[in-house]
Amino acid sequence: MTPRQTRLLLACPLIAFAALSFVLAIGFNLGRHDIHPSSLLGRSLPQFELTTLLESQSVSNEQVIGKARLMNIWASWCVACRAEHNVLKQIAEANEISLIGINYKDARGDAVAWLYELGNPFEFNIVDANGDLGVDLGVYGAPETFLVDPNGIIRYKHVGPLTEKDWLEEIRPLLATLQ
Amino acid sequence: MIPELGHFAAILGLASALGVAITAFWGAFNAQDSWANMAIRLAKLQFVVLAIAFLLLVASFLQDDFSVLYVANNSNTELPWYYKISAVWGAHEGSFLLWTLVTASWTLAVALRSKHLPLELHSYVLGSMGFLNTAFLTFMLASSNPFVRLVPNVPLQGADLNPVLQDPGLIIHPPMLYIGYIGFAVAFSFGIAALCTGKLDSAWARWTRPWVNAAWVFLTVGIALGSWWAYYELGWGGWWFWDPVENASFMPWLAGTALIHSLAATEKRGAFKNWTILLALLTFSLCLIGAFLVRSGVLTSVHAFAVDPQRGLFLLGILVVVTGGALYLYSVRASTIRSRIQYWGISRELLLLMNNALLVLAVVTIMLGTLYPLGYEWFTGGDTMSVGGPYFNRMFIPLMIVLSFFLALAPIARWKTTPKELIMRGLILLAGSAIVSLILPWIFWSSFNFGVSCALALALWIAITHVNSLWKQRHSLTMGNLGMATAHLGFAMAIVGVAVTSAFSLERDARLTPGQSLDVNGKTYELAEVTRSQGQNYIADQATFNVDGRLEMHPERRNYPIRQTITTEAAIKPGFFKDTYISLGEPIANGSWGVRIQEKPLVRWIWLGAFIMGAAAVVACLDKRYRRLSRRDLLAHATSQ
Repeated sequence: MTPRQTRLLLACPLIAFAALSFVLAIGFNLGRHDIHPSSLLGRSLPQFELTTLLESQSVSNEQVIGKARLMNIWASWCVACRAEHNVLKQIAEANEISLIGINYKDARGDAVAWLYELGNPFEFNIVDANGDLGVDLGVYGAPETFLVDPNGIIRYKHVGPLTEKDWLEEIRPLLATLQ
Repeated sequence: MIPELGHFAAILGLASALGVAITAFWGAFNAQDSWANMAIRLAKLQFVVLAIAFLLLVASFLQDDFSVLYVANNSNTELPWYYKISAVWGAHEGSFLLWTLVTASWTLAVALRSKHLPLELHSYVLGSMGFLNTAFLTFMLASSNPFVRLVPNVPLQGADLNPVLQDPGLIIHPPMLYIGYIGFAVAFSFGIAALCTGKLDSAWARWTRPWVNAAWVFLTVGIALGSWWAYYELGWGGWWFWDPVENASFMPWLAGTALIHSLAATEKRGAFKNWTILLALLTFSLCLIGAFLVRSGVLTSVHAFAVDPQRGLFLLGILVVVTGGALYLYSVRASTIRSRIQYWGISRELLLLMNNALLVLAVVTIMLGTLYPLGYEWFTGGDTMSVGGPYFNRMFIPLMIVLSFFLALAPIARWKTTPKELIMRGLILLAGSAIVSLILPWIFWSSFNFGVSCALALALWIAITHVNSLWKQRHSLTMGNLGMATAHLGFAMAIVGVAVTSAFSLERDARLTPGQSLDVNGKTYELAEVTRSQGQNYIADQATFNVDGRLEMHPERRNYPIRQTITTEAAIKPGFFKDTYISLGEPIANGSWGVRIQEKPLVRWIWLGAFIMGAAAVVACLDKRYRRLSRRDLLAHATSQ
């Protein structure tokens, strides 16, 4: 074997590894699509017929449409929701957008107690006891947050606790373009 | 205060890891003792501070400090204390802290145990270990810090540990795996050192072998424990699922097994030097790829940790730097290391080569099967699919049959070349084993299965050739040879277990109301009653089965209210020749229950075989030639090229 051939042979593992890293990087990007399903962005809110948490009145997607909304999936058993609650309260106090809570797979009593304990930033809360609405929205777990425009089209989805930065740098600018 | 101290200790750990890397590499470049000694001291410091960080996280768990986000997400006041401790490594952040502690422990072990190695080699190994832990700790502190506080709204109660992880097997399974994975980092570092110094002789191989064996023991036992855990905890009686995460631990095991064998050829005959280094680099790289697959959310699996894009990217970065860097070094430097040996026909060299080729082929096969769904999703623009057990079984089993064939010849073959009569005698033994294996299944399980007969024939053949060679060496047996033969016997036992339990397991699903019974394989299983009871953090429906009116078995279904999860606790009557396995399914209308009854012959042989292999590798480590660090070795190494 000439030295050149030897060197080429010894470089084979490196080349194979480069190819493998490429596949992993692709897989990694696909994985990210999974968490931010682009399929839901730009689609209308799914239809539903549920009740509100505190008022026990019936509520459907018709009541949500009409103005821009920030819809937040939460539950009293969700520790991360507790962490993000202050951020939601700050957003509500700024009075720039209406917040709607979706109480996800929760016990009614616990959920009400939670709102009394921590405060209620939501205009109203939709009770999704079985998680059906959550399934239609493609929810992975609580908390998740959706920005819905006045026509009921989903514009933005955030998985996990919302931070002040997410609000200031992503949602707020997007909201400005909607109005 | 405790979490802050822990955080601070972790930062000190990062500083000392970086210190180890810098001082050790500096010592290696300049051949200075003082720097190398400094690296040893820093390795000790690194271990101490990371152990402190780990213990402080344990303390946070024991105190139910839910102001720590990681504790709040993975523990609960109702959790028994031992699961509070194991919850420390029950999810991503804490398990990564354990990972860095394990790296520090191996670094310490290398620092203390290999002091007498040539300064240059020792320093490169230490430096490489220090570099690796620097990368791991940076990753942990930047994106996976387990000490992050959840203030000001401290929850009163935590979210509980995932119930399927609340099991004694899971207390030790992950640490064992991590110790195994990172043990291969030592082999990796020896490989890097050989490339940097350009010296790879039999002394190098002899110094590396005990480390590889040690890592391999932990990985073997870790995988076997995981399989055993899946068998009794997941409640379906399966013991291997070709799940991506199982594959992630199995690939380094196969590569590590290949490495053990190729090191043997390198030590005894100076053969396959380049190949041995490549395997040392690849084995640990496969461990890193495994970590990436599990922790980045690329593959979905029962085992996968929480998904966070930032983490995945960071881990991919570490993988590219470590493996890419090592393989680049290899492509540039490996040509300086030459091996010139000759062998003819069936020789040990050829068998070891076959072993390596087959094991690496197995790794490639599993890698393709694991990554194929990713590629498919990419090409089709979003369609998902999964490569299931059938693919892996179809590809993997034939490879293992061929591997077993060559393995049985191991004690017969000699270095360089083997006399024809010896091989002929071996093949006659194979013919004998084959005839016995056609009859045996009829006697024990009154049926015939080609696969089982194949496995039995090979296992029997392996047993005969190895026991025969042990007998012949009985007056001059070295620990190395004893370990080798025992490991091969363990392998034979495992393949018999796999074949028989796969082919001859019985499985009956039925719906029973209390009082009804079901006959399986001549035994009567009567469902006597189902009662409800309260565990510490779960509610259980416990069934009582009377088996032939003599034996009581109690399968359970547990409901963990905090996580809203149901687990199935199968009732297992273990036996050396047969397990009886009952799982309680869903309650069906009017008081009846779904029930699955299984008989699994020789299933225990699988894990027993694995544990024997692990024990055998320990025995091999005890060989005298690893304990004596002879002056001759050092001299030979100093002058070798």
